[in-house]
Amino acid sequence: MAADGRLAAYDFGAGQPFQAGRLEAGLSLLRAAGVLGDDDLLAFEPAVDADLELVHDRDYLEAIGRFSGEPAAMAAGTREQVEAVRFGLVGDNRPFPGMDGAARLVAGATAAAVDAVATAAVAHAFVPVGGLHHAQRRRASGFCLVNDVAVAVARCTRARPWRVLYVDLDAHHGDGVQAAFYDDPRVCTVSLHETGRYLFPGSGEVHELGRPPGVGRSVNLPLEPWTGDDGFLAAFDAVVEPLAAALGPDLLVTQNGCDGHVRDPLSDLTLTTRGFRELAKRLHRLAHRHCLGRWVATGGGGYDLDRVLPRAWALLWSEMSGRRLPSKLPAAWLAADPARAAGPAATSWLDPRPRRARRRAGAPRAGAAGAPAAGESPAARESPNARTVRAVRRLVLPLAVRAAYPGSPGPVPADGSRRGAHRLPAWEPRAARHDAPRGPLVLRDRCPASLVRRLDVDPGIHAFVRDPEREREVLARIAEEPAGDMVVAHTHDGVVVGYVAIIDPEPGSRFARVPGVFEVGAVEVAGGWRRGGVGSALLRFAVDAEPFRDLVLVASGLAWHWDLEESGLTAMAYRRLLLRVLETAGFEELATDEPEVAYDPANLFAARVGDRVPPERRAAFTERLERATSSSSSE
Amino acid sequence: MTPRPVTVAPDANVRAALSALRRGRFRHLPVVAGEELVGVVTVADLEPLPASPVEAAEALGVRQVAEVMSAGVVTVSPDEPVEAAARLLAEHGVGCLPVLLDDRLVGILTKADLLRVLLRVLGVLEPSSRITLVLPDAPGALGRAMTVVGDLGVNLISVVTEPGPEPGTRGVVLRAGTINAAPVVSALAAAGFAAHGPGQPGPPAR
Repeated sequence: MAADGRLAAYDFGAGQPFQAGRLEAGLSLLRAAGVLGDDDLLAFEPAVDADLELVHDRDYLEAIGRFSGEPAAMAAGTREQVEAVRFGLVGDNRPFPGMDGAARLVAGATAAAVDAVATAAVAHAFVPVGGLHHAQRRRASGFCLVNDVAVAVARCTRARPWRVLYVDLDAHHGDGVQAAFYDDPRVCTVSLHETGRYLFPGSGEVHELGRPPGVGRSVNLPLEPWTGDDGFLAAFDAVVEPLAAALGPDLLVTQNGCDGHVRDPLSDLTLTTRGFRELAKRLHRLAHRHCLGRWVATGGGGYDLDRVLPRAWALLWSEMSGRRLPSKLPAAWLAADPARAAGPAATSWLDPRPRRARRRAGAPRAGAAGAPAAGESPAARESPNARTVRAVRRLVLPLAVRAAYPGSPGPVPADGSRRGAHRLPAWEPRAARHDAPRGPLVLRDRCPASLVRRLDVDPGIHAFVRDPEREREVLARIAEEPAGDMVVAHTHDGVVVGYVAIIDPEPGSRFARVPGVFEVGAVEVAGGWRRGGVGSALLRFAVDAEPFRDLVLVASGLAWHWDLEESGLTAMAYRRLLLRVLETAGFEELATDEPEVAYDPANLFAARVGDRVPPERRAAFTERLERATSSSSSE
Repeated sequence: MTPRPVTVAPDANVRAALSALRRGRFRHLPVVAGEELVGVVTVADLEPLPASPVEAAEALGVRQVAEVMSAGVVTVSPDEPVEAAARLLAEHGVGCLPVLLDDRLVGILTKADLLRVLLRVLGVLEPSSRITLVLPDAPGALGRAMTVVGDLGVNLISVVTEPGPEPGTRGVVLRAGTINAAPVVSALAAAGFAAHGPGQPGPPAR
């Protein structure tokens, strides 16, 4: 842990939510519970200019230095006041004596934690006062003077060609960290937060996706007020784990702000310590599964210093350190301040389960917009959070990964049908031979997961997951989907060099549960085997199975998932190539206003209607195309 | 406005105009003869084309911009206030206003430019919390409310008012430059103003 008494200097004053007492309030419980000893503390020094300037402008840092002296009453309209306002050093971030040194200490602590984890001195590190995620390049914001997270990550990625996954669980959008790496494809920032429609800072919408070449690596899940633990965890599970699988990060950095708690004065997410404990477990598992255990957590926000923050930090630290908390909160700690024992379940680490959510998490307001009309698509009945999660999954997860991690099932439709009830008819597995320029390949369909796990994966298949082992696991998980079909091309040595995945359209998507409609989840050919017609041959082989004469297949291509770096093509050239491959297999491009496709002109939507598709099924498909068009244009 | 916009000559063929629009990914093209603005051509003027591709190709190739453009367009000068320009756009039902200085085309103002102004005016591009208020529509009410906010040391990023939900009221949307909006809302409520914001009991005000 990177924390010591010096950090108490980061203090906007008594009465302010971010005050000196925060650190001690939190750590006192960890010490009382016997899970934190002096040996746990990492040494760290204030961050130097060279590090801070990786993220901040020099004149902003100089201004922090100048305003660090004794606070002179700033008269309105003076040059000092104008400058302070320009750099955001007013209100929440009003200057306090010694703030320069305090801010540098926080940045130094987080940098030391990242160093310790990067050099494998420790597996995990926690920086309780870190996570000042709002600080911008040249502006203080939301109690954040310097962006310690961005500084530490920037230092790390400057020295090492690592991929970093940053997961921000604070109730507020992690805008400063996102901005610092907005164009960086190697630093993926994910922020789960209460929607910025009302809440500070106002940003963090789904379509803030990053700038080239980092499009798709800024991920935002704006959640409704009253989301609660279950809704928050569902959003986390549906996006963060598959994203980690897709990215293959070398380091996990998290901001575990606990201001989403139901008792916190600053937000309305209504989380509890039960949710925080679950999130800590998931992050821990994720770090070991994807990042060789490398995990740096920061404390972030959280402003109920009696009832919430100490418990939240203790639960997180217990998870990270592997030290068990006593079954009850230490009585002496509780007795030291009556406010610590306020409310129900005072001696328990976990809050009581909410008896009943006042309103179902993010459920549509009954009556407000009118009950959904009969015959509306299932998407229209989804809760706003479910819709947000689905949109984010479509935007940022490659199709193969989405298929391998189906996430939580969508809303159960009125007719009671469930995901999985809609599946491909069975047929006898087929095999064929394709002579690629590099050598003969075996094409085979209906590959079960057990077979996929027995094959090897060519290292050239890596657009989504860099590690062939993990890529194989993604493919095996797709093969486990009861609704789908995994078609692979492999060498005679059993090395997979290409695959096509046919899947059930994702719940809630435009073609979900439309009878007889399936989706081409992914088409991929290993880097060294491209330009040999392997993709076309594989797709033609896949759709040549008898049952597809009675089915409709849809395919969409989102440009930011394409491996443009490897192929050396522009997005438009790649699009032409993909369309040619699809067309040789009988697909036809269709116009669509599906927002994810319409987002980029290089994106592509195509469909293949089997020659024996009965007229009523064809009509249902085109009706869905048209109905979807008319309903989304009226939004 | 967009300074130095791409322009087209009146005798250019329609195909050239359309490809200039597509290349630049915009929708309006001022038509300029020498130095003089003679009209505006839009995507909507160019796209209603014959159904068959062959006819379309012929039509595009032979027709001139002058045949499809709107002549006699409404223009503004660069020192026009933005709200006046917005009114012109709304009243004339057009999508753009060429900006003329001494009869010379210096820019083009489109609805997308106004949208950017709106975002800036509403303060959503700066970190802030949204607080809504309903005030009596009376002199001094807004000033008193803003004094309450100022006394807390909170900087205001934007203040927008509009006619309120009831006659005699004004609705106000503030963007306050603070992460800690609850004290602002409580202080406004304590001073007798109906205020809503994040961190409050009850559903947020829409």
